[in-house]
Amino acid sequence: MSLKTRNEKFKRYLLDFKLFLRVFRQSPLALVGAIIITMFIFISIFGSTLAPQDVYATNLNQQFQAPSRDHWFGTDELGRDTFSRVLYGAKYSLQVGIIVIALSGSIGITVGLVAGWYGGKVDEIIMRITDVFMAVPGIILAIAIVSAIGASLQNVMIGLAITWWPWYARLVRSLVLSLREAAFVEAARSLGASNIRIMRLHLLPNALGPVLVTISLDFGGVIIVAAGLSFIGFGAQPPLPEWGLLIALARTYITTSWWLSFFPGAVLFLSVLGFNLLGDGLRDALDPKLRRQGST
Amino acid sequence: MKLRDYIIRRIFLFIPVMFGLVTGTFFLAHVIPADAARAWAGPFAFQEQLEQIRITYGLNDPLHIQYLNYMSRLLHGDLGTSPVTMRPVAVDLITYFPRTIELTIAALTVALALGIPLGILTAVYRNSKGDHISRLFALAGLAMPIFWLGIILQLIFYHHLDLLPVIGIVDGVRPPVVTGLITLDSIIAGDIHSLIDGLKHLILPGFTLSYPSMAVITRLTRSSMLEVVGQDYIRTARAKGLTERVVMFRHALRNAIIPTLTASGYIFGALLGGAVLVESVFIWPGLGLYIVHTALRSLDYPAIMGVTLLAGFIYSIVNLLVDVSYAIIDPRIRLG
Repeated sequence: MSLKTRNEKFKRYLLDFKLFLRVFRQSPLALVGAIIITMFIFISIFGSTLAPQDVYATNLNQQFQAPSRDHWFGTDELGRDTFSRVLYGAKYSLQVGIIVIALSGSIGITVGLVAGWYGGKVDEIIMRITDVFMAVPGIILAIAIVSAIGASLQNVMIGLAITWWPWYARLVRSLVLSLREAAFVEAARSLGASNIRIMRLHLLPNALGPVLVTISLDFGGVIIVAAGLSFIGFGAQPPLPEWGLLIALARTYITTSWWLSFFPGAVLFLSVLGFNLLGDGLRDALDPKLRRQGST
Repeated sequence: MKLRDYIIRRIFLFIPVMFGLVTGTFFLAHVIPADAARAWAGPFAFQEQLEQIRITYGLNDPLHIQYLNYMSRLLHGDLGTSPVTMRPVAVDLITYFPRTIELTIAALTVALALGIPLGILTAVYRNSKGDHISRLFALAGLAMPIFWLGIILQLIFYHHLDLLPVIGIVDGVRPPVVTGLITLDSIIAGDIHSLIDGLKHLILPGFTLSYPSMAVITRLTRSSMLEVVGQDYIRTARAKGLTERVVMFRHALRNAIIPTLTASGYIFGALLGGAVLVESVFIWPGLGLYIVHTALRSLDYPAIMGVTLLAGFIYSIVNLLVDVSYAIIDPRIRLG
């Protein structure tokens, strides 16, 4: 790599970093979001260490304790500490978010690049396929897939990835359609660059901005839907302390022990809020038109 | 392109989607190597019973034969029999679907009726305190796990206030079934008590389901209002000396409402999906409760496929209608 290109690269990183700072300077809410996400990730990684009590150990002398200094979020029907279980459960939501976004994102981006770049029949066929996937409300399609392959958290990830990719494919395709006429793509093609090279080096990097914003806005959505699927029984199975499942199991005791369903849901809500706040801030920073109008 | 040509083209796009959906759900249910007969008969069934089930449901036939049989039955409106409820899936769907539609329409109405005015107000009074509060309200709506919101509302309204019913669709006698929609049937029967009872039961699940969509609609209306307000024709209208009210409602709103209406198809789909969760919370006997009941207990392929197909069909029809009405409102779309 020549010195010049390395210099160019450094400049680009600097630019990215400036953009990063601009997001937070302009939108304090994005900063709040980033703080929430940082905490969420921290808890996901260290939750099992941080948890003051064993998440699976039952203690029948301590059933249904209301929130107190010993048990911040109270205890459940087996005397297990809800605070510990909620901390421990964070990692499942983070896992689902990362894996579903990574799977559906990589499928969708690849398919969208191919559809947009090759056009014609290829594009037509791919678009009709995405039509079929998008014809069923996402959660219902996910239920159909998960019930066919079996209820588990892992299968929820597969089901959600299958329902989510067409959205990225559509988005990337539309971006590529507007990029393919650009002068630099024309130049690359006239220099004899291969299709794969053009897609990888010219189309993909230029389409990545809007895709990243969409991903950051989708992350929270994926976490909510996955928790919802666990809530109705298709995802995580007991005794896993997954948040959606915790809420579902707590319904039996709702009249007597409100804390069992309240805290896992509140933490789930806060985490998703964090991702939405950051996504919002990113979008404002990357889209000057929106910023000027002061909309969300 | 003429409007008629556009509509015809749009309908032709609808056919391959339905075909793909039917094929996709079939293969999803049959290619996955799970023992359906075992799942339906339970762990203690004898070998002969399993064989009987396989023969009854044609599970021993080659895949393409099963597929062709399925297609031909589907064309006759036969969705098969659910091994869980032991009834034809079509009958089950006719029973449960109106409840889901009633809930979805109620939620859509609430979302539009509150979301659009809130969006307009926050655009007109931009950067006011109310605007910021509504922004928080909207952000919270998008982050809200509705199944949890439903439980919290149940807790507040029933266990602490005892104001509203928190489960089921009706307490008293149900009105005679005409449409399957409790509220509509009560009106047809002229039964005020049932109507009030039905509406009371709708309030909490309807609001719970509508909240995220309401948030989306509020923000969408607000941002498109703000965009329209910056246009030249608005300046012209103001320059003509029209009152602010006339400018906002007659000039701005008419154009600003289009993105919201376009999105309503997508929002309908989100509500239909969200209904699955809300129905579980409020024990609302609709499609969601049905699919959870049949799919979770055992691999009830006919029921799962039936629900998926019906949801896909309805959602596609709604999107078709939205696209066509959009083309009628905005002639530019037909040229594309």
